[in-house]
Amino acid sequence: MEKHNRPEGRILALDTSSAAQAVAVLDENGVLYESCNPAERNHSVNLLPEIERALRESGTDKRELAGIAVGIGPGSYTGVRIAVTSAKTLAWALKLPIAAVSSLEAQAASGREAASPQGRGWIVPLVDARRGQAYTALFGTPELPASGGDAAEGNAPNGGTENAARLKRLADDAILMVDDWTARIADRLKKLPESERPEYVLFTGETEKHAETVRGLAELAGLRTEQVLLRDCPAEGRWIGRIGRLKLAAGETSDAHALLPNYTQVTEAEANLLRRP
Amino acid sequence: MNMAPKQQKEDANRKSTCILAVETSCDETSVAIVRDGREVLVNLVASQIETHKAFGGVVPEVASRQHVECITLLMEQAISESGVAPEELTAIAVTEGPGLVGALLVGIMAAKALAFALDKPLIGTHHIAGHIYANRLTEEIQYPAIALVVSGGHTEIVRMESEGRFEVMGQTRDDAVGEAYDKVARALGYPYPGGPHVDRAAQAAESAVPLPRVWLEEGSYDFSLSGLKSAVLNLVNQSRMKGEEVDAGGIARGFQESVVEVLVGKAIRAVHEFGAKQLLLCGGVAANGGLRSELAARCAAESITLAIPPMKYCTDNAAMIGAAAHVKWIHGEVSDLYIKGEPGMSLEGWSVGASGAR
Ligand SMILES: [Zn+2]
Repeated sequence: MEKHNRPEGRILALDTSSAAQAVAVLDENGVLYESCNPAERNHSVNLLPEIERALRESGTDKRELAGIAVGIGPGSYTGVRIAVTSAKTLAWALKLPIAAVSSLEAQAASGREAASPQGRGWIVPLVDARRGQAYTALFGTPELPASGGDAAEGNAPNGGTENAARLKRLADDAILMVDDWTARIADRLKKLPESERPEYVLFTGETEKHAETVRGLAELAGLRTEQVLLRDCPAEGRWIGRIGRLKLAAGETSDAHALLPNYTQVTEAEANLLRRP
Repeated sequence: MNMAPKQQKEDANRKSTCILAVETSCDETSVAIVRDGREVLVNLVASQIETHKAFGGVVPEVASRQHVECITLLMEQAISESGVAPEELTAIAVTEGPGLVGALLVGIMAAKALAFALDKPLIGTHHIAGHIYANRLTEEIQYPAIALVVSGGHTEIVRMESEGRFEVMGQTRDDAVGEAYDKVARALGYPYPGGPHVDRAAQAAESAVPLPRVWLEEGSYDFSLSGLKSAVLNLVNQSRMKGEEVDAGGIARGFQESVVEVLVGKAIRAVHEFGAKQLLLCGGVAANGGLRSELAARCAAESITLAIPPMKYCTDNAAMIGAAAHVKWIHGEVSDLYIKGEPGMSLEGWSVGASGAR
């Protein structure tokens, strides 16, 4: 039980909610190992060997871990179950605290880092869910104090990117029709006073299939086309880890037995049953 | 002592093992701890049958979700009830296939993660080998043996020349027995799972509606049940069209007699042809009263030793997976962390020595 009070230790991060398989080991100083493999359909084959490699190459004894951060989706049902089942079993067997991280939040943070747009923005992660749908959410960049900003990286005592607050959640993880969702985002934008409007909207994750739809946001919301950004980017292990670290430090842990994927919807069979008169 | 080193190793491996086994191939989440391949210390089964009744059959996505919900709880409970400390476990076994791939994956990921966390060997195990080795949980298997495997997903006659060696003599070319029972049950208006209803109706019926026996080619050990099933559906439809009451009992009895006669006939023929010392009845359909009594009567009449595991080891359970995995362990065959769900896994290919030391 004492193990639960070691936020400064190393944590293992994993996510298999999309085509990419993300594994990372982090400690308070940063990322010690990270891999992001396009392992579509092979998550179940490679995940444990990859975890083994991550610990070995970062010189980490699994018994010395301070916690586990796992992406709980939403995304591919089977994919999400692979990381969640592995993580909950490891956490239970090694008696580690576990933090459940929204794969979409990690994806939004990964996309923001990759595209590194300037200023205050909105970020929309997308994981394709076929038939015009996507698993998606809405985040805003954190409001940083005027004196601090991103430049503080590495300077503060608990410095590094870890110190940056998480993205601000503006909408829950959900499965939505991308065209409806784009229109709803446009409505929200139009209702904002000029002073609160984001300087850009960044779509990230699996944007390719929905590129045309989401580019339409500029016209719908009265933005300049260059204010709508697209950046393909998976949920990276380091962001699962960074968000997980913040949650562990804040005591936002999950019971390993109770930890479940966030499917965002009941199964089709259950939905049909509910519809029956 | 002039035993070969390999033999010494096998004898050492035979004793004092404690295997934790996981089974999630269909709609039961099960975790067991089995000592020396025979002694069940604990065998926990979380059945989803009540959930799937509402859908009229197993819904794979629903099954997979429920496996994730209870898998670590069952592992924890199994360890605490057995009194075996995690570090005392010899190996972690898990059903690798066949089964529903999404369901298999939950057990496989949990077993891999547990094996990795505890630094224990992993043994990917064949589900049908599990059904066969369920017999060892009550008595030693005498080789050569013939196994008649009958379940919702399988209908096979398997020959075992020696321990851990499987040769599939025959199998169904279409529906599995359990599947045919469920379809006939639905046609006769019984709720899911329908097998037990058909069995009861058949045993209560005074007469049987005559239905064909499907023996296939001379000498074949294969089965075909779709024709028989269609014949039943035709009978039901004809009665309905004529506005007559469906003779559910008579049809159930006719169907069961046809199925049982062919299953028993082929299994007995296999025992004689291969000089088997024992006939093993395995799988969930071993619960079928008509099949059990006919098989027992024929075996008694022909002096064949028949073994039927207790019902709790006939339906899907992890103890049987632990029993089968023990055979692999004895022969020094373990898996690596790269295994995945194998929905169409070959039983013969899983035989001891078949794929080299994996
Ligand atoms: Zn079975």
